[in-house]
Amino acid sequence: MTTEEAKEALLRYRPGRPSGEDPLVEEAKAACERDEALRAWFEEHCRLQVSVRDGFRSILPPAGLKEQIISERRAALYTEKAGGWKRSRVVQFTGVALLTLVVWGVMSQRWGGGGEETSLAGYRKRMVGFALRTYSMELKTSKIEDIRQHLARRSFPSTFRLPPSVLEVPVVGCGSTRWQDAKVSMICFLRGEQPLASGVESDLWMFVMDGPNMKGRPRDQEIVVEKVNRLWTATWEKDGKLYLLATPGEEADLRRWL
Amino acid sequence: MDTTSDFEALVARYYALLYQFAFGLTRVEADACDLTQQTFLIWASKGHQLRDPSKVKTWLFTTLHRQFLESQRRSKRFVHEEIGTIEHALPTVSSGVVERVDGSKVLEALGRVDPIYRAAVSLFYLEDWSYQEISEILDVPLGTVKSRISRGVHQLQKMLTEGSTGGRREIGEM
Repeated sequence: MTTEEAKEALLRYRPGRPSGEDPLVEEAKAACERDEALRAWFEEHCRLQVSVRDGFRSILPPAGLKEQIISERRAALYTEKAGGWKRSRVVQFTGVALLTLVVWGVMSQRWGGGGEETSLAGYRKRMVGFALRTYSMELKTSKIEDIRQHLARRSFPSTFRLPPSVLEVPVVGCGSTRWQDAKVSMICFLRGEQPLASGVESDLWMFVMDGPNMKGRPRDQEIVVEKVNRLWTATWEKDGKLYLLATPGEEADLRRWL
Repeated sequence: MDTTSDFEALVARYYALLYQFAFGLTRVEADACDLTQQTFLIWASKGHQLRDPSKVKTWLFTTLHRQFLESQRRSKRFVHEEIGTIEHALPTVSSGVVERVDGSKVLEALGRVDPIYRAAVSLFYLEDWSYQEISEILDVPLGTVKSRISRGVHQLQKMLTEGSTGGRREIGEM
């Protein structure tokens, strides 16, 4: 086994896992004992493997995904049951009434029930978390039109109107997420006034969602400014869309873009 | 699935793992959510056909992967590439690279790994799957699994290494 062959086999080595299922890896590990340079390469490779593995495992599902999966299953089950009760008119009416109650319950829990997760505060928290968390832009571009086209193709809000001051900030790309079944577009800008941490690609984010009837949403002409985590946020509604602008720094940093 | 509570327990146990795999494949949160949800939807209607309860996890991952391939075929974005040989010398890994690797860099690099290797690489890192299990999930022979892992890991490391030596622009420099 040559050094290059040994390295190729060792690419499949997973630190902490028995490699008995792969005889070539075992052979390559044995070669490390005889070759100092190969052993040094292997040690660094192991460190990188651990680091990459941890990077993979740091991916976190968005809040509410589990609940969404379960609630949709429950709704489907209720629908199936309702379908089986059609023999009797009385039972049918009961089924409809129950279904209505369930739908009402789900809707009130989502939009009006008062839990923070379904209110504007919950939405802000989620979006700030999305911006601060490790995300990847779906599209990196400096052209806002490219972003609109990309979002429109994926049926995410794309006809947003950005404040003129925000339009002066270089756009760097876009992403998307969901909140309570609604599609949310994320447009990323780069103020570039402060050095960014490793892995951070933008420092001003605009989230746009077709305006839901959520608790605590801004009134007409109102801009709600709140600090969430380490970002300052401004939220407003315009033409049936909910806009959320977020940026790090001081409140004054945010107000410059409003 | 026998009962609603069984279904909910299954979701609670596996949704995060499935989401990680889906995100590794798609790199888009919304698409990863859709794939995860769709997988459980299929389980709800067809899971009862699975006779060996110990295979539930493999079944879920297999189903998610099939859904992903199906969505790729529909969008015609998936380019099925021939597996070539490793053309370039294996990258030198410096300790500085290891210290700077984080989740975003890994995902960024994974997104540039050839699509045909991406699923194998994701499974290789995400869970301690055996080659046999990965082979079942991806529905490819064992030897193919090994070569995809080797080549995919090679590509991934090469990108992470190049990124650290100025070969391409570092995210942190933006």
